[in-house]
Amino acid sequence: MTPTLIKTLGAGVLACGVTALASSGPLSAQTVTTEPAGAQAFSPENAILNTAIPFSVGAREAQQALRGSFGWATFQEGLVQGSYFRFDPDGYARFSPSPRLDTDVFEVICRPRTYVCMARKGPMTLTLSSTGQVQLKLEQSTTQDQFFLNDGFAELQIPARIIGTLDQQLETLLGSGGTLVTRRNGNVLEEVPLTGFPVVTAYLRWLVARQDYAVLPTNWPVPRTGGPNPDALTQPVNWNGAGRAVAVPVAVDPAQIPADSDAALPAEQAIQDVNSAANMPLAGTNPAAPSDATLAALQAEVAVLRDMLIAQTGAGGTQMPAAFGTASPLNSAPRTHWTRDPSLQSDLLSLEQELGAMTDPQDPMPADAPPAMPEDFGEEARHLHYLTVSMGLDAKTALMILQLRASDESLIETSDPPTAVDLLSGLTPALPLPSDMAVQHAAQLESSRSGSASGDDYQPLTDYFRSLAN
Amino acid sequence: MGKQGHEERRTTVGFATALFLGAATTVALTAWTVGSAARALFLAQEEEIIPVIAGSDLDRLPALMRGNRLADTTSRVRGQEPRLKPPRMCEMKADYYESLDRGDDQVAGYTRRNGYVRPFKTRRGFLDEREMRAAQVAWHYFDKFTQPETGLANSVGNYPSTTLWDTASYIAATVAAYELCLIEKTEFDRRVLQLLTTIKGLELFRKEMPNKVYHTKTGEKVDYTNKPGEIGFSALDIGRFLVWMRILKNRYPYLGNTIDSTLLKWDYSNVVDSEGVMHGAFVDSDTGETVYAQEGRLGYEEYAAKGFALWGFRPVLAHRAEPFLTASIFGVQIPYDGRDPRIFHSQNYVVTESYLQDGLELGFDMPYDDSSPEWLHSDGWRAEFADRIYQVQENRWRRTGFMTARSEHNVKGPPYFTYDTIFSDGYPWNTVTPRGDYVPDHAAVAAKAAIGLWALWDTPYTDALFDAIIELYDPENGMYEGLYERGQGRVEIFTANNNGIILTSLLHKVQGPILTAYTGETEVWYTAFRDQDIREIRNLPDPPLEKDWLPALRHSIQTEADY
Repeated sequence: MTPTLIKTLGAGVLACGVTALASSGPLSAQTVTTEPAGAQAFSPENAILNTAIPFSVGAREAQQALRGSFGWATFQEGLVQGSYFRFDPDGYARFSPSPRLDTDVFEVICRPRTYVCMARKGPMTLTLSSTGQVQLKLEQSTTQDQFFLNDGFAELQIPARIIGTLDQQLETLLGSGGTLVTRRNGNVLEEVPLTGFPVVTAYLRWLVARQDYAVLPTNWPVPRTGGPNPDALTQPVNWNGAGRAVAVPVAVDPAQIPADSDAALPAEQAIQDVNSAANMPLAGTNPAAPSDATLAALQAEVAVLRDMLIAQTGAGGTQMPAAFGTASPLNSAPRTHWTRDPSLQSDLLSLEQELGAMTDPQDPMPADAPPAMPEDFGEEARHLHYLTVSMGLDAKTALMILQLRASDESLIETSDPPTAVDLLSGLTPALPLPSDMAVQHAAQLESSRSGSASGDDYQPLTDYFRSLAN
Repeated sequence: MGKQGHEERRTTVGFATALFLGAATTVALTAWTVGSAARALFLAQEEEIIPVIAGSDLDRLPALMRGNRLADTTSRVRGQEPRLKPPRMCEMKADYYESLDRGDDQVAGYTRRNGYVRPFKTRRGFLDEREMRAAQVAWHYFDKFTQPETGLANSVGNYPSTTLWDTASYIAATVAAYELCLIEKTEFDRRVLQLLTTIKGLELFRKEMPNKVYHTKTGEKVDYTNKPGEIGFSALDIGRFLVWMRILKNRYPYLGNTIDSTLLKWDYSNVVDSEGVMHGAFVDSDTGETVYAQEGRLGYEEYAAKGFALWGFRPVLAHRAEPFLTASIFGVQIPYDGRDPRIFHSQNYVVTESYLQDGLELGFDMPYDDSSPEWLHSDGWRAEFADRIYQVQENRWRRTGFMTARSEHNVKGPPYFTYDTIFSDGYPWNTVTPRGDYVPDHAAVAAKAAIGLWALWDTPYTDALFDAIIELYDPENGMYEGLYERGQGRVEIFTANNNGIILTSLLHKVQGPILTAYTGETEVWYTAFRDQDIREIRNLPDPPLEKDWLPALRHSIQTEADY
């Protein structure tokens, strides 16, 4: 790496830190207005997304039938996890279970020329915090109200802290569907269907992460190729999910970069490079073997970055923008803080070690072989390894499954995902138990599962016909 | 006995021979007489043949000379009084409207020549105080958003971009401002000449036709991001622009040479084909090559086709209503384009605007009609369809209470533009974005549609529309785009198209249909390049004769409500 490049990277990190600090205000404040500023807000410079990069498998870029030039010429449309969607280059998007996008619509609006976006459906608004967590607001509701999740059969009370920043479990819970019901003094105040909730939160994160697939949920149908630079998006043959994937440097169309961000462009690029490097697959987890030259370059970059970060620690340092420290909903929250804290340094060091291991010519593991299992792993660890690596689940979910397996074998046998009751029990021990109906339903289900039929319960068909003949 | 018998036989033979000779002689004499008479008659007829005079209608002129011929119009062919430009409002006599033929005693319906007499009357008269204020405010939009460098006006507020469609709206506004005495001739000439000079200098899309979008400050052709580049051309936009070029030229003949030289720069070889179909052009994103595709759907297509026909082109197919279907909405059979969007990848929006423009600017008349009275619409089915478009909106108001004047309109913020339709995609009252989202919250009473309906349909319903819209303005920026149907207030955006159509509507009240007869003789448009092959290369037309006129057609009339 040349000194010039080092300087550029350093300046980039600094500039991005400044940018992040400047933008962290609006991000954390979440004072997104429903209408963009300015009398006529349209401007080509408002483009923050490249509609040629598919949000999910099957999505496609299309042309708009414009009468003039006031509006976007292209948009992207597709279907993912039951939600039809369309979005424009400025981030404006609509999600709906109907292909006409006319019912139960989640609408996403972004502040012009920023990645500060807000999703809204009826009285509910969703934004992302600076750490990439979802923040939920309900127009008239306060924490004094009672909140319930209605799945059509039963109603589960959920903690009032859903008004505010959602932790992973609450987000998972709300993403499971149903209707969010707000009650005040026993009366229904608001009802919001949660259809499309996980898709919209994924979109918000993807958008903030500059269309980086690494932030999408584990089971997201990420396209293998597509976009303006298919080579950059190409994944290994058996790469099948973002949970095990790496951040791929997405080719950014210069035309899509806001005009007023020219100064920050090198810095952003540098951060993207760093992001890519930091997220390079670890030994044993990436089936594709990078070339020696690539690894050497990455090692060099990591070393330089480590030195720079250490140097900046003493000089006041900077903070990386939240937009680059992106989080997937379930397992990437720890990566959202790009700070100069020691954990990052240790991460970088460990990354170096991993990279060193990858370049070790003595490493007998073929590039596309499944990751090796350490010998000292116990049965639980092996199971965990199986769930995360072979099944593609994220660590939290895998752990949850293991815990559930330990507590209730029958639930594991059914291979069902954790139910809302399970999640709630872990979340709010102080909360009242779920409604009687749900308990009864669960009890019935349990009894029906546990009840096994004996041989006496059956009658051979021949016996049956014989009895009829007699 | 034998001898006597022999003599009798000889006598009989002699008689027969004599009879035959006599008959033959008689036939020969008769033939000679008739032939001589016929010859004499024929020779006499030849004397009476009208000699073919060079340059006359009977002279099959070579291309080199056809430009000198005058275009056939109804006033020339039928010897009717041409429709001349009315005086400016401030020059009108106080009793000007008292002598107008309003066709009060006419029976509504189709005429023998497929003209149509509407059961509705247009509004005519001087502008009152409220109307005049609206005109001033609407003109203020152009006063504020015209770029001094180029003379082009922004399509939408501060956004420095425009299309030929919106430039036509600017020309409409300028004509209205002059005729309503908001500006004087000095200002009018300055604006129009600067604009025409700029348009003449515009870099064309691949040296063919004007690009779809231009930057208003620089006059550069741009892409959809308003950056230097090119998109293609729009036959609809060009068609509307041609309507206003013809209006300018006919009303102000001193601008004729400038207008002609501007239009003569363009290459019309692909925009209207030999079947009379209009084609737009765009760039294939993969190959970079120009792709020509049929453009226009029922409503806009016929309006734009008339623009081309006013300049001698023959867009026969584009001007026909077919293929169209109807949808029954509130008892009215609403015509919509029958081309399936799933196959043709082009939506069939039914909105008010194109019918308004036809009525306001062209009086629902055929392009060759420069003499019919205002109450008779020679393009009959267009007027009859327009009545349906009006009626269904009034019916909706009466049945549901929703005040309705639907058109495409811009909105503030995403999605920036909506097709607020009477019918589209199989749904009535469908408000959709260009990308197809259903956005009922953006349904609005479009200001231009409301004032346009008010001008062309003098009814209590349009009185209500007028009251809802006429004070909907910002004195600094112009008339607002409209009033949201669901109570979100005004559509807070200002556009050239909206303000231009409002001014046109107000001008129509004062002067009637905007297009007037051409009073000149030959036109440079038809005589230029006659000694070169440029006319052939660019598909420049000859002056249309009566045989070239687009056919005036009729379609079945709905006589009773259909539910």
